[in-house]
Amino acid sequence: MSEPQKIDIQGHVVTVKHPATQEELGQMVHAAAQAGQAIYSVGGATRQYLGLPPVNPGIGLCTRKLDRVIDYPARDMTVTVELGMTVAKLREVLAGENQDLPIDCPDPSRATLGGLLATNGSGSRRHGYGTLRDYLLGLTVIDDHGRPTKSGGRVVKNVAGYDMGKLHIGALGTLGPLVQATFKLKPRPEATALSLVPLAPDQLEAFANQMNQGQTRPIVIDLLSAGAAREFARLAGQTLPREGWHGLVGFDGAEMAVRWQLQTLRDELRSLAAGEVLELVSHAGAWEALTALGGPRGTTGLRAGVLPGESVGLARSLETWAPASGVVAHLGAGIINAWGDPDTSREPLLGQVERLRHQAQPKRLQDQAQPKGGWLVVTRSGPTARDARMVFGSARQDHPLMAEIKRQLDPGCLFNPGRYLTDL
Amino acid sequence: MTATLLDEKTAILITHLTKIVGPDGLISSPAELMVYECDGYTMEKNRPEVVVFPRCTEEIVGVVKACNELGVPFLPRGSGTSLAGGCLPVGGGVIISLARMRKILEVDIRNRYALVEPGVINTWLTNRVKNDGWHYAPDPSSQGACTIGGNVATNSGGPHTLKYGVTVNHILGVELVLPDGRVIQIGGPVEEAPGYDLTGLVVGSEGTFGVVSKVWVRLVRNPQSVRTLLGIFESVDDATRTISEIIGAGIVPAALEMLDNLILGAVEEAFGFGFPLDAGAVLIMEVDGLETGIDDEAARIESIALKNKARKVSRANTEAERMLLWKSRKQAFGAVGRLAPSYCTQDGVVPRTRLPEMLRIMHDISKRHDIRIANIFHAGDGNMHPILLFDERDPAQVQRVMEASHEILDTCLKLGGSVTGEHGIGVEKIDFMPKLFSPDDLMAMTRVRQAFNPTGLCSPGKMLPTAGACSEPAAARQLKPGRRAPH
Repeated sequence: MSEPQKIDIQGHVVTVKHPATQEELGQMVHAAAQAGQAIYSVGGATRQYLGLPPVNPGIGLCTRKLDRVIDYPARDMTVTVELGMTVAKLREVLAGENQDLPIDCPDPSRATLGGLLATNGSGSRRHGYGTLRDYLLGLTVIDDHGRPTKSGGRVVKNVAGYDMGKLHIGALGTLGPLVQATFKLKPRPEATALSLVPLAPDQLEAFANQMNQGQTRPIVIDLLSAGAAREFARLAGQTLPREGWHGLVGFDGAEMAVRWQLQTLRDELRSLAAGEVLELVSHAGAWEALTALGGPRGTTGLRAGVLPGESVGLARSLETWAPASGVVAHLGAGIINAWGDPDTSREPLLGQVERLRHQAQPKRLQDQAQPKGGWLVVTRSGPTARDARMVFGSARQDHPLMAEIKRQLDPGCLFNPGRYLTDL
Repeated sequence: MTATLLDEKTAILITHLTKIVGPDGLISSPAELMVYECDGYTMEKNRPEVVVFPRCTEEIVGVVKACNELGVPFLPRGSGTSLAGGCLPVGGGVIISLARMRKILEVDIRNRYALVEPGVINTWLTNRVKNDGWHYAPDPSSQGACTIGGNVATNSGGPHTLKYGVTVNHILGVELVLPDGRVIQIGGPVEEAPGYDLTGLVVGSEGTFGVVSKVWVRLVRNPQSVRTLLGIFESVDDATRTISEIIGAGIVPAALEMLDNLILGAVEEAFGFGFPLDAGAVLIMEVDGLETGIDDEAARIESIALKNKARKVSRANTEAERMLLWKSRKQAFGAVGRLAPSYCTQDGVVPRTRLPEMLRIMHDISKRHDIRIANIFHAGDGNMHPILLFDERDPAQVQRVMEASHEILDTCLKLGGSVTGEHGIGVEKIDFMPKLFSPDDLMAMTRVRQAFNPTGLCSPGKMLPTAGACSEPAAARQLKPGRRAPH
């Protein structure tokens, strides 16, 4: 694969270098630091739309050539790899031992593990499997002098030193390029199943409540708006028996247990389902479709977090927010992804977003001076210019501490300047 | 500094602190302070000047600000069950005991979280929510005594973390009194707010980033069913091979715990469970999940154990039997007193496939140093707790224990592991940090500490060898015989 020499990061074209080793990457960071150039980390460039545009002139450092397996002691169920490796390649390596890193990632053949970490990617299976912070055991990053610094280790349990890895997950590369990591792994399940349950609009809360107390133990509890359900069915090559909201429940594990759960769910939801339940058993294409729903669609994308019990309310607001919308709410975690083509001629995107942001505050906290709850981030904004207020909203109480950590670890503001929260 | 001046400074300190927490909110007499000279790691001791018992965040803030004004070091403390000297007052100063902040402030089952004060005892929370069918997953063996704040400081584990993860996987956020007295909320009941994951960083920071004053924890639904098996083995080797094979077969048990012959004797004497005293080792193997299929999983485990020469595999037939089995495991440390007047517990980790090798080496270390070592540990995680038995009145034995401990930990590193799986670095293992990490790695950690704790007044002398600006005074150093690892 020929490597691009230039990359467009939110309208800013940056020259990209492709170091072949971690040492070479370190030297490039050192040289850039000496020259006062900013460094923009690039993996598979699948999610460079997140965050904000670059502010300082600089170079792109692409990690894609760093894609070696460093150590894979399969019986210890850990793997140490370089982070330019694509998610698909890691999956392939792990499949040989019937293991997996169960983190959903759209476009896995392009997305790198470094990018997945930097953007804290997660999807529907987070309900059953958690997120990257539950799998990252050790991490090596390049510091502002170009030196590798590691934290954690290669064993599944380890509390030596500060858990610096946590700091880098979702930090959009603002604390240095990520080059190597050790992950904890899971065995691949014997069987899987997805159950797509049509729901009448007045049954959404009832569905959410039932899923919180039913007999089954799903790994996915999603709520899909009509647009999202349609898109899911299209990607999975299925025909939807009925339009409208759908619950999407996923199971995996031993075949017998999966079968029992499907039956139990059918029984438990009998009075709730508004039509025929579509069951997709051990259907790889359906899981890929579900993962792909997390990819970019529509002109504008939003991602929100609320208390799980309040996710149905916000999901409803997001469905009517824009034409051609789609909403996928992960009900267990209270994380909601939405897309659409909003009309910004009547009301600017910022106004629309602020309104939704207010709704993302937990009801009983809305009147508090310091909002402690929900958040809403603009992942993509179409033609609308992006700034920190629009993309992330107002700063939180712990923001000054984050800014101080950034100052400590990157005093010269080398790494991805301007791309995350103000001062990070 | 002369004794009089020291006393004067302490008197001013006490006056300041009394105004904040009241006369019944602090202790300062040498006899009362003795309890606070160390935690569960008793090899090194140092006395604080004062221990305060704040009742709320505002009182913690007052104490922290007073310490800042007077330039006195301070550190938080839960129940003091930690095992690496994490709450040893290295530089003297003020211990902020969270023992009076023990309210469960909020339980929200629908949203799967609870908000607790740091002094809440770990097991209280599970007791509070168990009738609703939920629990708080991290279950350190000391859970009947240790606090959730302490668990946050050390990122505690426990037997069931094999399947459910350690403390950090269950903490959603904290309220933190920073070392300069500012109060901030980090994270909270809503997941993944934009910004750095400071919650993940604060968990396991061993009290060096400030004083945690509230904790949002995740609640977990109880499994529908549990099967607990007891495998009896002729040798430790057979038991460890079984562990390796269970994990290798893709089974994720809820817990996999091993007890060797030496500890079995003590545990049997204490609890009378009915362990065979001639067994080389026993494994407690637990699976949980849906009722459907759980017996198949238990049967697979049983057949792996039998294939690896288990003498017998039995099941806990009743909940009472299961509880007694777990009591025997979790309170085993209490039974160690039957084996020797003193003991020192280590916390090494190796990749789980290296366990058989590690245990053979440990056997050899025990012989060479003439120190008996009992083993009881979280086998499924590769996290060992060798218990070195000795008599602390005999300095030669103390010396040999230190040497044997260091050799065990060095071997863990050589096999690709770590010197601590769940107890922390504290003061005990500071000298291993340069063996685990490069100067650049340590510098990055130091920079992060600077962001939280620039003056170094909060919990000095912990975790990092180049710990904060307020380094250990000579007096404190003298109190640590044998602290330095032999090189």
